[in-house]
Amino acid sequence: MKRMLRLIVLAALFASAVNPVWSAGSAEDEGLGSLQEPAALTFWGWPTADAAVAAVIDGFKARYPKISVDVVMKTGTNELRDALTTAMAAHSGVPDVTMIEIKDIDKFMIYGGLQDIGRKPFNAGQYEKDFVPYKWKQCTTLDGEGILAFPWDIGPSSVFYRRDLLEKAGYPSDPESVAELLSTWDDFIEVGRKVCALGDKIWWTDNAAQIPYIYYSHKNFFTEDLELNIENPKTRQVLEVAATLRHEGLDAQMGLWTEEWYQGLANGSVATTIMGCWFGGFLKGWIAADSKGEWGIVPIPEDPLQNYGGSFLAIPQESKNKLAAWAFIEYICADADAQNTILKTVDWFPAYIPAYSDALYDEGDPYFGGQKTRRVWADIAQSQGAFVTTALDAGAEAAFTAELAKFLDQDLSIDKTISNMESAIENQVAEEKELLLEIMK
Amino acid sequence: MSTTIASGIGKPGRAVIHILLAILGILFVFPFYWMFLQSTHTSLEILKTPPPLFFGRSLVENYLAMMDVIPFWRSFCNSLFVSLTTTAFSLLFCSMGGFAFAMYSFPGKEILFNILLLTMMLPWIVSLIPWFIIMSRLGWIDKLIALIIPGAANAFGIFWMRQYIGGHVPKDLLFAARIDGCPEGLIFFRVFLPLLTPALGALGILNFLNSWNNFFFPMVVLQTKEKFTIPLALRYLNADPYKGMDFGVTMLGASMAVIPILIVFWAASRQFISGLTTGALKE
Amino acid sequence: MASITKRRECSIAYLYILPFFLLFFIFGVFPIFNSLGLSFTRQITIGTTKFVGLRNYARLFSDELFVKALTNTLIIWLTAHAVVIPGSFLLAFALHHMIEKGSGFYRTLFFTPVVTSSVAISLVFLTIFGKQFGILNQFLNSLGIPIIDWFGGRGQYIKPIIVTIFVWKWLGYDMVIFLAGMQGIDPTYYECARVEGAGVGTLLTKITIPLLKPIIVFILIMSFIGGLQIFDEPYILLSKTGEMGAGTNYAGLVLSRYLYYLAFSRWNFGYASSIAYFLVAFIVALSALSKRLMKEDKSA
Repeated sequence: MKRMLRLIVLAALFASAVNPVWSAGSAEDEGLGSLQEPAALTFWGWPTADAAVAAVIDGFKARYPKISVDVVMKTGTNELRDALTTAMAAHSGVPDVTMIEIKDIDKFMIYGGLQDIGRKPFNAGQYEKDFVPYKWKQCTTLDGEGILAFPWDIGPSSVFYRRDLLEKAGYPSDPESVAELLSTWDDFIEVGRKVCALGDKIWWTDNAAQIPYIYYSHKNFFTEDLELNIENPKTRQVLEVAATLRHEGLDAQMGLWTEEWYQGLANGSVATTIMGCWFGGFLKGWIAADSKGEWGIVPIPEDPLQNYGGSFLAIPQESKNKLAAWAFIEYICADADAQNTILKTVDWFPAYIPAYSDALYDEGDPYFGGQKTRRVWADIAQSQGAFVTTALDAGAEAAFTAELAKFLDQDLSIDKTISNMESAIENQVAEEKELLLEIMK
Repeated sequence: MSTTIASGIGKPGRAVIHILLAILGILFVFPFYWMFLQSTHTSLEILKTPPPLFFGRSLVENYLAMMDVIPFWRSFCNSLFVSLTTTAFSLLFCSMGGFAFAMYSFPGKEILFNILLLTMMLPWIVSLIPWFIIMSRLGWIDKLIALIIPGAANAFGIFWMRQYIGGHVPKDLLFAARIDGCPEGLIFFRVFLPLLTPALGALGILNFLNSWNNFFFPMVVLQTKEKFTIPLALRYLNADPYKGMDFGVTMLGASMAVIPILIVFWAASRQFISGLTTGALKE
Repeated sequence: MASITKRRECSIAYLYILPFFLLFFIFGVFPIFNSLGLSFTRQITIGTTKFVGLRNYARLFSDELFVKALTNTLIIWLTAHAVVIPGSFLLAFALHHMIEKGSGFYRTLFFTPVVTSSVAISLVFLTIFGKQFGILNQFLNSLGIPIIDWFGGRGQYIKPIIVTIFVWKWLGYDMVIFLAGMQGIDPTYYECARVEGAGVGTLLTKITIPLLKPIIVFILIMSFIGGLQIFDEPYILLSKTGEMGAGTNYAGLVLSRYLYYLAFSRWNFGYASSIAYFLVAFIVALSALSKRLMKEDKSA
């Protein structure tokens, strides 16, 4: 046994000597490649990016005939992230262009791995004024100097509501009236009571937790100096609203993305859900494809500037075709025609402001009873206000949602919940915060 | 079967035991029944109150919907290919190694065997992260080979083969084969391998099933739908937020993943059970 | 002459173990020790790590989530085995001693879940435990019992569900092992005891259990190794409850799930590895303990 022990210690020492298998990555600004030579780009995306790229690839080819794009589809956002993590760590098989979801951008801000496209020769900074401000900040480093990814789509959020249920409860159902009807959270609760009174298996909203959540969906946890900032009147108010909904049985307590939730949305037992605009495509496409004309959207009461989800395009540092990759990103993300074609094809909403002037935004959507939903979302995205995003948000969000569920399910006090949230968030992000503060110095 | 105690509890007592066993049996069968039943209904039917308790008529509809989301037969073939090749390699390497450990003495034998025993005790999750890095270094991410080759190095298999050979095959056979003039390097294949059929069968079943049902490592290493094994395809059916989840369709996928194994198992349950409990009966 | 044979024997032996050990060292041994090395480091950027000594290990017990994951895993393991081990023993006893016909049938039946994919099983149980439309709640509802939010509420039902699945899946496995052990006991022992007037209870405690001790220890050790690493069931059951997949109150957070979250969602590879090694130490200690217990019994 003693000999075994010695052997183990030796082997561990040996193994840590060969560590890191994660050896240093290639330096910045290598592998620019050239736009004049033929280049084959590898692009990684999740569903339904293949359809999005296919819709605009001809235009790109016309402009850059020598660049070809190989679209590799990962099965989902987490799968893409895991694959990218591995590839970067192992320095092999890294794509030239990759999608990055909002919840994963933090890790790259902290640990690096992506090309800073704010530098020459990319000069992404020139586009700053063309993008929705909050989106731009999400991909900019803390010091405001570096740009690690380029905005693709955003998720301006809204209340999706069932027209028929509001009508049955004696309310008007056209979006203008409903927006007025639901202009404060108190109104929101009041209307909910009437709608729930319609029947046993009818609920006003899917899950009360969505209301506090939407205020903190990858944002607002910290100040710019990474000071925790959730103790404020707004947090207290939305927690109160959620608790009221829960206690009065106005929410269905359905887990999002569960079978029951889909079913509740499809069969008219859930009257509202608070989601990013991309959810419209889901509803229309398959969740409730039969409910044409039954749904409408209005801005979130009191604080319309809310975002849930969205993605970026980025160039990993190890790409060997960075110039071509940048040309592709520029074409996809900073071109009104391309962005609007993608919007029409897969319902991914542009972060690129010039796109909003297209006539497309003033067309009614028959699924939403002819409502000009795209204009509503574009207005939401450009509403007044600001929110703070930091590279600690993803870690904070996990802790926040867990405490939020606890709050609703166990009937905790708001004071207790906020202090629980604070300690849970600090515990979760301790490691990253320390690193970030070092970087900031 | 011994009935020394049974004879003491009498007929009524035995009847009670049978009833208890039958109730437990029904509880054990119910999830399977429920799975098969739901696979013949649409989601809408399943979510009615009261839910359907007998088989429905939407099997074909569910099948077509499932094929829309996952290439089931492709995954099936992937699983079959991975399980069969892993098992074949593992049986060959483990029986060769087990033979060497049981029949020969050589420097380092003790220590190698001890390392082997030690790693058997370790949880697989320990090696996950570096394992993952090795796979990508080798360029095996999203390739089935990433499951086959490492899966062939089965520490338990070699341990168990050594125990079996040591316990069941007399060492005299080695000397006899030498006297007969069989080349040393071929003795294993000509003389020993044919004697190991029961052990190979048991270990083979164990390996095959572990590989067939394995979820974690495939999940980490396989990334595109075309490469998925059955458990991954099932999980995708459940988790795909772009197509939605459908009870009936998911349960059909689960049924189709389980049925082939169940058929083989019920046909050869004795061999299966001895295969899967292999390690316990020898130590 | 002898030494030549000896040398040839050796080289043949090496040749025979070579393919196995080649793969085993690359894919088995190396990752194990490498992750031990990783557990002393911390990632600084995606390409570089820094040696931090025992910091990751020091952090373990101040990390509430780790403590939560550890206690959850232990609770799940303990309750599941508190049912599985006596349950499978009694079942084996019943099948072996108390019925005359049908024991082969029941053996096959109870063993069936063992061969079934844990992913498929988890998906089935997910539909059984649905909230508004699950079969179990519909059944309760028809009896006038209010429905239960199985995966929500305070999360108090999550562990029982995982335990239920675990018991359902593994009861038959341990039962078969006990059965094999019982078949190995010479029936004349029982006959002699009966002649002396011993009842069923006495036979059980004085003959069957003492003779099966090695098998019980084997089952225990296997259960440490398998049970403490439980991953598939909580992962599938709770995949819709957020990035960590832990359910309300982290009620379903198990060690391997937390490790996976830390490594892949957060890139804390060093810390994740230290959790893995904590698990190793724990399993080795438990196994050693149960072996020692068996030895003491033997000498007694």
